[in-house]
Amino acid sequence: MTSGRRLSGEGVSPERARGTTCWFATEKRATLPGGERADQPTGTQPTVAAGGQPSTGDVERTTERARFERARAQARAEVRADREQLAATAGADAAAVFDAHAQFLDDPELVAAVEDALDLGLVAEHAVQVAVDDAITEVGDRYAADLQDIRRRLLRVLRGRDPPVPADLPTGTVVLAERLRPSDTVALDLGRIAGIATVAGGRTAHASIVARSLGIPAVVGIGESLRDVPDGVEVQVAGCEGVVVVDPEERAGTSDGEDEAEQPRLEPATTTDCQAVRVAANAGTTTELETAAERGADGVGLFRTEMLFLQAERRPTEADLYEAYVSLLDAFPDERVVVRTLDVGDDKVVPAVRSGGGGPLGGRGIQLSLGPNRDLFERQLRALVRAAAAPGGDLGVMFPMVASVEDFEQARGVLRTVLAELADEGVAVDEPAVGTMVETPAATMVADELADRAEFLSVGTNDLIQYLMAAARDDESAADRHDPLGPPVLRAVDRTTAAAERADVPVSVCGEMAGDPSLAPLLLGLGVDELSVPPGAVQAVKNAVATTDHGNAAAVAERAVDAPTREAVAELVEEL
Amino acid sequence: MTDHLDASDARTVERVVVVGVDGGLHARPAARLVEQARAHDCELRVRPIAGDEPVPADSMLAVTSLGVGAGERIRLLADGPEAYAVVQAVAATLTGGDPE
Repeated sequence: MTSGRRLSGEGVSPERARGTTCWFATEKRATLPGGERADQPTGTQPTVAAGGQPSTGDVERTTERARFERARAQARAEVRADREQLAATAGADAAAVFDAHAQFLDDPELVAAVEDALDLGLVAEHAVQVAVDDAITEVGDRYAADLQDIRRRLLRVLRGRDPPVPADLPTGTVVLAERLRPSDTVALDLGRIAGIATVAGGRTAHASIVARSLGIPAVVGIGESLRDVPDGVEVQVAGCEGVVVVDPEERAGTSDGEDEAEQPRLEPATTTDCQAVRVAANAGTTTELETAAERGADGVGLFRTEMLFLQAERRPTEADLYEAYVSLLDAFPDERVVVRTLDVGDDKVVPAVRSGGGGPLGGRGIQLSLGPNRDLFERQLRALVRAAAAPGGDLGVMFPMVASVEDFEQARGVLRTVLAELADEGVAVDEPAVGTMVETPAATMVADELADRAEFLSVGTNDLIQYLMAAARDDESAADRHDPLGPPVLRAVDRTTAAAERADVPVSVCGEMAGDPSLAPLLLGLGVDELSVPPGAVQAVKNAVATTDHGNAAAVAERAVDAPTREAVAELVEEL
Repeated sequence: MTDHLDASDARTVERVVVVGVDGGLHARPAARLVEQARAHDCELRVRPIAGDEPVPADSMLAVTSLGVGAGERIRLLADGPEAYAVVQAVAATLTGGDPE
């Protein structure tokens, strides 16, 4: 058994838990010495009764009829009791299946079929087998498990056996079973079960309904591979993803994220309460893109274009840019990749590009793109809308340093003009998703209005903190002001996530704050949908997401937003 | 049952119902339908619009064998003193309006 082996099935309750496996084996208990296996083929021809002697006498027939009627009465009473018991533990919806069982037991067709078989001289056990087999053929797969359960109950009662006693399972058991029939769930101490995994069954199977109503993580319909899992091993049951991980130690969500290179999480991580969270990468070079893909990034949340300008000795042509964007899309053919348009200025001085007056307030980002660098901006947008039309990939574009609704609308206006011009020229183009960075305090003030207009928001915490706290990001003497836990920062992020939620657009965080695994719960609690992080941090952040309880994080974040000081925030974050 | 006779006591009632319960005529509504059919003094039969022969509504096997899904229409055919009442009750079950 390989550690960390993953078995896929259908996840039926959105929970995740770990526990120790134990096979549930009522099938074996129900098969008594000399008894007939429920799945044994049985014909409808009259066959001989036990001992090889035909049981055709009137006396025997009367006796067998009486046995059947007594068994049916007892089965009916048991079904009623099971219904009450399950209603008490799992609720009326889950228990309603026993109403159906009661109606099947009293079904005139079924009773008549048994009586016909008895009249032909069969013993009661065999008559029940034959009649229920025919009934299963009649109603089809949907109720096969219920009818088999009823047959099993009738046969057990006919054989004079008591109902199975609930197995004495230790708390934290993950129950493995071929399938769990309604009467099986009554024979389990549901309160002690950590999870359920079955070979057969689907979403509408009884076990699935019970698991959902009790919030027990469950994965059903895993198939043959589940049979290889022995009793007594540790497994994680991820109902959200429909996956059972055998011996999950090595890819534990609690690992510190340093040693996860062996088996990176390639799929999006989900919180313990099953919120899927994208962990995308920040990148600007081909090497970074490769690393991001290897580390299982869910796309690119921030592609910096400045490198394209730095690497070239001359200004890149439209063709250079187009090529770069297409290869970016190729690196993540199935994910969203977001390109940030040119952001020069402040510390990012690019020789071939006009860079404003220098320093944090010297003009940068969209301000320059709509002003002196308009020609370059248009060139970049032409390449982007053409790349958006390339097959595969899902391209997003966002503008840096937006400080007003006007900034955003003008920038998008240029994009649409470029799009229309190229379309007129007969060039293949497509409109990418258009979003905006939220990295100026001004943008957080008009976050509602921006969220109404943009298709997504992306919070750049590095610049946001610099401008909120009036402390240049490269000024080491002001390092203590660059604190992601400061109440002003949290409130600015909170304003933005609240605006995004109201407008129903996704919101990402792409600053350094997102790449710190210890801050992931806080950001998720604030309502962030995507964390875009340095490629090397993808796995650590995914692991942090996987151990976060989203509901709890939201409650803590709500209090953190109201906290007056950095210390008060830090104390709350300790709880996460 | 003569004490039940009044204006609404037509002996034969037919009604087409769209199955509105989630997942169609699954265990719970099917069991309820059969229970209601048995509780009333009349013969109730159920026939899928696309199907051929009506089946007796007091048989769980017969009702579940129809395999009626959500959004499908079925015809209720009741004959007897409580025909009107049983059709009313069953229609409420099948449209999801039955509080039970």
